[in-house]
Amino acid sequence: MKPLSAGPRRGVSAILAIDAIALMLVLATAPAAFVWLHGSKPSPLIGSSAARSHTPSPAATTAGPGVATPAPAATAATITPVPTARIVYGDGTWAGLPAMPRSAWGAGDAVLANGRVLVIGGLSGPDSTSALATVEIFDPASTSWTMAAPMLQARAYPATATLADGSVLVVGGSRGGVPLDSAERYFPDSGTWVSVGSMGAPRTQAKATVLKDGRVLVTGGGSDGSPTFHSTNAAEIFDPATGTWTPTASMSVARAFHTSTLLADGEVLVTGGASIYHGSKGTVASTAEIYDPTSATWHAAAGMSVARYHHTAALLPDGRVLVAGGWALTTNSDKSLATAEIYDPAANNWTATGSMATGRARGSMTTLPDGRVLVVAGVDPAYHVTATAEIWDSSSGKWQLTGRLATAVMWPALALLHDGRVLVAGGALDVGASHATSASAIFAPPAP
Amino acid sequence: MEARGPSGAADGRASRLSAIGFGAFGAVLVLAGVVSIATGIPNQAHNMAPLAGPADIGRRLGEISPLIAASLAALVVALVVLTLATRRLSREAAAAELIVLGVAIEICVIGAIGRIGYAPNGSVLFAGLACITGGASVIAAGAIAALVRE
Repeated sequence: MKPLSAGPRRGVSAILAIDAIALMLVLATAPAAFVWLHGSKPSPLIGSSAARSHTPSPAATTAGPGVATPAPAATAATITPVPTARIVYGDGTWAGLPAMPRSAWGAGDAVLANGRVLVIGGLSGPDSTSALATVEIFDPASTSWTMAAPMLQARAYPATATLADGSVLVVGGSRGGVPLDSAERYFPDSGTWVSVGSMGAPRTQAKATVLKDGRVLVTGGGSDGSPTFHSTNAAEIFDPATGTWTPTASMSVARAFHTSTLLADGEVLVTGGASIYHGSKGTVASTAEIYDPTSATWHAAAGMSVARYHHTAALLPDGRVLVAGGWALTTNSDKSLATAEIYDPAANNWTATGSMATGRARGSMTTLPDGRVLVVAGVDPAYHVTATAEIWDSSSGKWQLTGRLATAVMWPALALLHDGRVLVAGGALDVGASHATSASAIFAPPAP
Repeated sequence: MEARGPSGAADGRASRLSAIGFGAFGAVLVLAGVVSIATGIPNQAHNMAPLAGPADIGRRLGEISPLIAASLAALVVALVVLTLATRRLSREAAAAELIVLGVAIEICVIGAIGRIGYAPNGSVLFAGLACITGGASVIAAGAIAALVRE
């Protein structure tokens, strides 16, 4: 091979130098893009120090509209119980707060790790043509509301769950009478919503429950829209680590407007619900069943004493589950139930406890940090919305009326704050939900 | 006209080879990134579900059109690189094509990065980085081809 003269050698050297510079520039785009994306990333990385320091509120780990069921203290990986010393007791009255930026009922709610509360979507009118994508944040420190970034999709009756990394999962719901199969996730650090794919089937009025391992079980809900509302017995699991949806075993019966509660042993109890709903015709379940995440199977639990839907449930500190109110029939003339009963997972039986002072359905319930249970608002037996609130005390097994809301509502958003006070926001002002309210109030429970 | 000596020929050969190398590298990166994003392997993009099948392309055309455009541009880059390697295309023409295609790839990918740049757990999706780097490599290929005169 003929050696190159000094001239060509210089030329090739120049090309090689240009190549080296170009290669460096090309390869530099990867770390530059990484830094750029990482700086604007929509979430904290799972396992990061920020994620580990999160201490999500006990509230809203399981929630559909109107139901906020605290997770058991046993789920220490995701839940930090509120120390009793930090509970702010008051005189048991509701203090008015600034109104939310907009009126809504049937919204989802979630408590963030920093103690702020998200009120998510919902409706501004009587049906889901008025579904909202808007999201409000309540800051307990300043007692003020601000708007957060709207969801990617307007949703009435979404199911929500606060995940272990502090993000909030919102699934399903409906818009324009059509149930949704989409899901999205809110990352508080960046204030952004991202899509997390679609469930296997559309569903509204479903329930989402965070399991002990951080995955989310979504159960039931309406699989099609008005005028006839058919529920589904399907269940599926969302894995936040992979962002994937996986079908799991179906419930024995279709359920919507049911309750779903994470038990202390990691299983999930679902109760009641309606399977078909069309005007005055419908089927309401008294049955209950339990999902075992380790075997991914359902097994029957003892049935309630009466069929219930639009009822509320709360996990008690001793691991039992209190269920109250609801309707037993889907006819409009049916009176809302005042009865309450307690499920004991160890004995697999239900025991009646004291009845509420007034029947109520479509109310909201939460377990207070001291173990008592607050229920508020809803539809009374006369088919009017109510402003009453009651507290159940496990020591007496009785309900006691406490302070009334300034305005009677049904289906408000409810959240247990980190200091033990309770926020109620929005709600429908009449049973037909022709008007919604933007009013909000905060409740400091009376000392036991 | 200036006569081309041995120096110009060697320069031209070297720059042609460089442009071919950078162009091929870029096309492969872009195509690999797009395939990864479209299939969700190894990591699904946070805001773009993987394609459920060929029919899904039609149903979600609006959503995935930036990726289709980027992959088509990468295929054209591969064609340009091939014709450059077989000397069926002048370096000047190839340079212009590669630069335009590289810029087009970057516009498509960066425009869609909000949907494809992250894994569901919020971590950076490397398929998105691969596409961006691939586009930069194609631009570099065009620049190298344009910079040196034979």
